[in-house]
Amino acid sequence: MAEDTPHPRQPGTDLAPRIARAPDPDGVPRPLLAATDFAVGAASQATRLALRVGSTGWDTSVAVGRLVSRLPGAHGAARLLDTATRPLVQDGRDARVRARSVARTGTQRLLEAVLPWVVDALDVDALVARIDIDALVQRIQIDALVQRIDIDRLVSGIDIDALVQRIDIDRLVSGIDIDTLVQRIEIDALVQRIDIDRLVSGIDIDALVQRIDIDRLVSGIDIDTLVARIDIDALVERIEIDALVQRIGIDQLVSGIDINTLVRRIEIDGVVRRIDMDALVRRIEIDALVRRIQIDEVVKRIDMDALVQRIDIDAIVEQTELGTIVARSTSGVATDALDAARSQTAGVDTLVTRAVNRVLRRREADLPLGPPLLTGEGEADGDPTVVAPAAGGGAGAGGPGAGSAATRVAGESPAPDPPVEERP
Amino acid sequence: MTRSGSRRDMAHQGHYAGALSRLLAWGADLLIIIAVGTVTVALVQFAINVATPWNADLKHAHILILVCEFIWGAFYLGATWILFGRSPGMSIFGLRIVRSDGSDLDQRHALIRLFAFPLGFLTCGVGFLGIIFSRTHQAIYDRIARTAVVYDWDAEAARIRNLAARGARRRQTRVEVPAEP
Repeated sequence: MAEDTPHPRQPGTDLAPRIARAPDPDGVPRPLLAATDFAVGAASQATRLALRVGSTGWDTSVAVGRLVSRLPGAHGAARLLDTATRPLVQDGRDARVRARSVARTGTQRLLEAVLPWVVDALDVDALVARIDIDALVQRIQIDALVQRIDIDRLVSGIDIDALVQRIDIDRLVSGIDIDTLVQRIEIDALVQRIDIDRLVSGIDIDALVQRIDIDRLVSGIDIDTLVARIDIDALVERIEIDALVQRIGIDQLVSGIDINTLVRRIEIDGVVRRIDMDALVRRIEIDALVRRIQIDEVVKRIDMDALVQRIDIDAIVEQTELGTIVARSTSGVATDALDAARSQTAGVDTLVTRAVNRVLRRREADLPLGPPLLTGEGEADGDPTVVAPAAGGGAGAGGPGAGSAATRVAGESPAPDPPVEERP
Repeated sequence: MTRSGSRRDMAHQGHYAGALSRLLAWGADLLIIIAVGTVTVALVQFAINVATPWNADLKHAHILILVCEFIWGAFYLGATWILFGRSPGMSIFGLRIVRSDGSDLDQRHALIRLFAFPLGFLTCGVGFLGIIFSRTHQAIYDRIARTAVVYDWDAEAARIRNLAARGARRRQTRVEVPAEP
């Protein structure tokens, strides 16, 4: 038989180690074994038959009970029966409880006696290997498990000193990849969590400064490199000029300056070349400047004789209207006579006109002085090229319109004095 | 002429001319026309007598001389009005012919005025009364030709001449009367 062959044990493969079948005990006769098997078989069949009969009887009892319970008066009988059997039921329940306690105690004793033997007999490695760890972990409800853990009690039970003493610090540190660790640190978040004020307030500045070897510190600084790394523009932008200027003691500063030396070092030509004279002149308020000038004092200091001697009369007469005026003013006695005759006749005309108006009872204000274009009424009519009236604009012997009042247009040089509108 | 007179004369420029100025101007023009005409007749008679075998006596040819004078006067006035806008007599008294609105006189209106000019005489002088009584001092021929006569002489230059003359007189007086020591 295959069962009779010895089965070699493979560690970690069988839950219970196979024990080599022990040989039949010496001295036991084969007929006794057969009788024993017969007795066991008979007992087994008897038990099986009894259980089957009991089961059938139970089913029959249940069916009869149901039938009886539906009969008239069954309910009252059931109550009567319950009342009558209650003491017995109570005694039975007590006996069952006691029996359960006794059975539990016995079971515990039995397990305590049997389990060590069973555990020793188990192949733990095989058992562990057959466990599906992943499925097991998936079935574990981590949150519920964590909530059930009493953290405080757990921590209080840990002997920190002993735990620390057991840690091999050197080995631990040597196993840390510093670069990876640093890369994983979020510097910004870390800095934000630092309470700078509290940190600084805890520093003893005096003691710290006293411990610093200034000479050694300064000698180790590469000034050129340091200066080259400074962003001058950004630095200057951060300076509050107004506050800085207010803190400067101007008087003390100025008193310490050697003005003569300073002025000698200034390159005047270079400074002047860099000045934008046009922009400078545009910024000057001429009106305010002129108002501040005392004209009388200036005029008093002018040497008028020297000034007149320096005037180029010939150029003025040749290039300006003054020459024309001078030429016209040197016409002689005939011209003076003509001027007088014209003026006198015009005056007489005025008298005659006033007399006629008085006789005809006309208001002089209602009468036109002259043609519209010559008295300024042309401007009111919308003709911008005609201006009036032509004071002194006559042309002695010119052609039609030559120097006439009616043809004077905007842009030409006006008469020296504005016309005086008088009623003739 | 006083300083206020000079300024008044400047103010007159461009105003309608009065009757006296226009009458004197017409008188001056008439003198010029007659003088030139007379001299011309005399020269023509002299030339005929000297250069030709005939003996001419134009003193008795009144009609001819009158017609010639009339033609000459028309030519004189028309030419000066068209060319200068004024006649020589008007220039003497500082007058100028313009259109009714004050613009310069053009050839067309000058000719209309020239042909309408005799109406002043043909109406027995009534045509000239507008110069005195009209609001715009226009005679009948001015109204027909739509012209007007205004003062227009170089009053500015006159004022400067007046100032210069007075300054010269003042300086001369200072030279003649030396200041007391």
